[in-house]
Amino acid sequence: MNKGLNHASGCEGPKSPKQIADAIGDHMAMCAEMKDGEIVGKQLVEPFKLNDYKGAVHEFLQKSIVERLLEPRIVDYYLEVIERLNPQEQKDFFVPGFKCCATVVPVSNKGLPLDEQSQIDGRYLRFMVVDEFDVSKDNFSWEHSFLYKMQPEEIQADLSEGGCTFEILPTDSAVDVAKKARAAIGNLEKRLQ
Amino acid sequence: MEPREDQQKDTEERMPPMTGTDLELPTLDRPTNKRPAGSDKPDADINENVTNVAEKVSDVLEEQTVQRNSLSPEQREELRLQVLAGQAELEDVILRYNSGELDMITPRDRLALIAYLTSHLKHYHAEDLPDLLLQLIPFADERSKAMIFGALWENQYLRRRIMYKFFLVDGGLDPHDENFHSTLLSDIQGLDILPLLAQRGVYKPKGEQLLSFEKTLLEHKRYGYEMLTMLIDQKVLPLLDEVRWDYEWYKQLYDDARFFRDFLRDPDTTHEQLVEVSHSILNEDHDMNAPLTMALLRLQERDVDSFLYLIENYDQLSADEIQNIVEGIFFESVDDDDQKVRAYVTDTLGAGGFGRVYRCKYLVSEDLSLRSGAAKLPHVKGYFFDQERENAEVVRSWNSEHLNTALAITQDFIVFESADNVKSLRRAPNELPIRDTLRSLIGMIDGVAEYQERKYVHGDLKGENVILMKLEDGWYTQVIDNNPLAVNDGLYRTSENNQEILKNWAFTPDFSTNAEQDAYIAADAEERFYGIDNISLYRMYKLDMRELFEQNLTPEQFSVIDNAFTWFAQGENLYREGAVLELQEKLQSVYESLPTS
Repeated sequence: MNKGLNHASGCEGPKSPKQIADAIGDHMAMCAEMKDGEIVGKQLVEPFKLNDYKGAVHEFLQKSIVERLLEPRIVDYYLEVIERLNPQEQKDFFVPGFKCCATVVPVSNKGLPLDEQSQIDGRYLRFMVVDEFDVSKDNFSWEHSFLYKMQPEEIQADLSEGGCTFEILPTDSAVDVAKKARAAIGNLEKRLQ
Repeated sequence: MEPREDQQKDTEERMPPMTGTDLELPTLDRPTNKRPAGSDKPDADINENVTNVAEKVSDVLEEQTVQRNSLSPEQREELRLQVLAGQAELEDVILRYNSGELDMITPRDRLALIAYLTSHLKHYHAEDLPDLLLQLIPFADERSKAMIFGALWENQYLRRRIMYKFFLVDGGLDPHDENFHSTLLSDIQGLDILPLLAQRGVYKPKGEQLLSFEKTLLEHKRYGYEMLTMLIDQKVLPLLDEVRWDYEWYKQLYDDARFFRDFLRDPDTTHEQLVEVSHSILNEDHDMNAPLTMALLRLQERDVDSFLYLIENYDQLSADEIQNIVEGIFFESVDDDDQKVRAYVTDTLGAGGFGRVYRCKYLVSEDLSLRSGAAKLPHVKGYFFDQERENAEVVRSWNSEHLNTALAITQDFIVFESADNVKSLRRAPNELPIRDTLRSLIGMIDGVAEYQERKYVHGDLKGENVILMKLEDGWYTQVIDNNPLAVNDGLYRTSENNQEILKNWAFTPDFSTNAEQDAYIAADAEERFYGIDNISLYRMYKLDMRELFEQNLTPEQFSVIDNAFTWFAQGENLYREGAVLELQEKLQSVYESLPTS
């Protein structure tokens, strides 16, 4: 069976925070080169192990931030942004029929630490919208990628299984999406504890 | 926003979502030939994952079949003849074949059935049709296989999602077929199938095919390099000597990118070291053993523009931007004066039917000074992009500080004004003091007035199309998405049956004129066109801003603003010249009465 490699940094077994950040940076650099939005190379990625991922969160975000990673100040702000989307904006981003995954990405799309202000602003909290091919975009990367497929399986799992991913239904209003996102963040908090 | 024609095309080409049975490409195994003896159902030829899909589909079909009457022998024969004539109903054929009622047993009949099904592939997006073809492909002759390949290739959705399965079936498509192979290499979605097949042992290229495969992979930069690395590491393919130099070149590039990433992770020492090393390189007294020196020298050798741009501007670039430069992620094109424009793009600011907008740092010709902007790249070049370039030229010629203006217009992308901190007027009111929001509204009116003064229409005014940019001396407001339509170029057209008046511009229904208003304006567009953008402005106030002002201003202040808009919305004002500036004056009086902090 093929094992995805998370790009050339990859090898089986535990990954260090640096390897995780490199894998994210390498993958996003590859996607940035595919400028027409046609993303390929799903074979090159695999989910991080949850413990490894938590290690990266602790390594790349400041201690004070990690302790208050998903505090109401951050979560409420982003969920309010979602709730205020008008129907067209909502449909454009939260595409009905796609999945949405609430997760933390502890580094920038270049695989580099977020600067202090970005951390204070919670720019690590991402809402990935995932199409049927597992191609995702998120609030901090409209660039198409397989970043979702690199998330730990526990985070990729559905809300009902304690995961952080949910279906976006055609009938969902912006408030419905925000409600599900809040539940997903609740699970995310448990996963990252 | 109502789609423009180019956007409509984009939408039409998007395939509907499929549910349920997506297959994970990497987990597919090469099927073994385990068709039970005497079985007429060839689906055992298909690997288990594919079979699972077929079984699920069959389950559904069987359920439906139960509800249908069985066919009499005469009806079966009639259906067979209809298939041979290409006149049968597709759903019926799939149902009856799966229920065993469609007797297509002879080679000639099977080929006819394959041809019949293939002819329906192009417009068919459900999975039961390709699944049935997967069952039948072992019976296909070369010509039929070529037809199937062609039909799968033509449909982007099938190419991306279904095609690989046809190579994994025993007796299915052969990736070594010269025509198939060269076609697969011609497009990255096709190319992406071959590594999967190679890992499954289905694709074992040799000689020229192997060389062209490896060469084509490396044409796709990091994707190709990493895919080739994976195949080499897994001992699926050897690295050919003919591509070794290219491969090593990429390896060095990506190793250097990693090195810089490590280096940039310690921002405290980054700039200091860059100063030192850059100077030593420029003074030619550098230490050839220092890794940073060597990485910079290699960057200089690979791409002298990036090297010079970096050492000239590193102290004003963020870590992400430096990383971007050393990774060589940029667009490059020429403007109408044949000057080279290179845009190092970082974050995607937005995407839509038009294309994508990226935050960028860019350089023009040999000038290495740091310039910031937003690079707008179309999905496809052609009529619509040409029109956008023309529009950008028009707006640039107006030289207005209230309209977002093109800084560089190239043959492949346009760089617009931008800043590190940009908010839309739709979002900003929740984050900025109310005084700033009011000032932005007033600034936006300046932009609208620029249009009206020149007898042009913006047509799609809304909060999302007004940005606030934070520059050194404060927030600036600009109208974006400027596609000016001249009043004397014709604002309206009539529908084919002459029943409706249609707008000639892109618009957002909630913020735009209704049919009655359009009819009124069209009757004397030269005098009444002001109403188009004025109505959008009024709607924006009502929908997005009125409540905010009511909540954050004193009743007296709010009443001045609300009365001003009520006055503005009167028919005698809404469609006339100058009303927008009178509205602005009324708002200005409230703005000036608000405290500055």
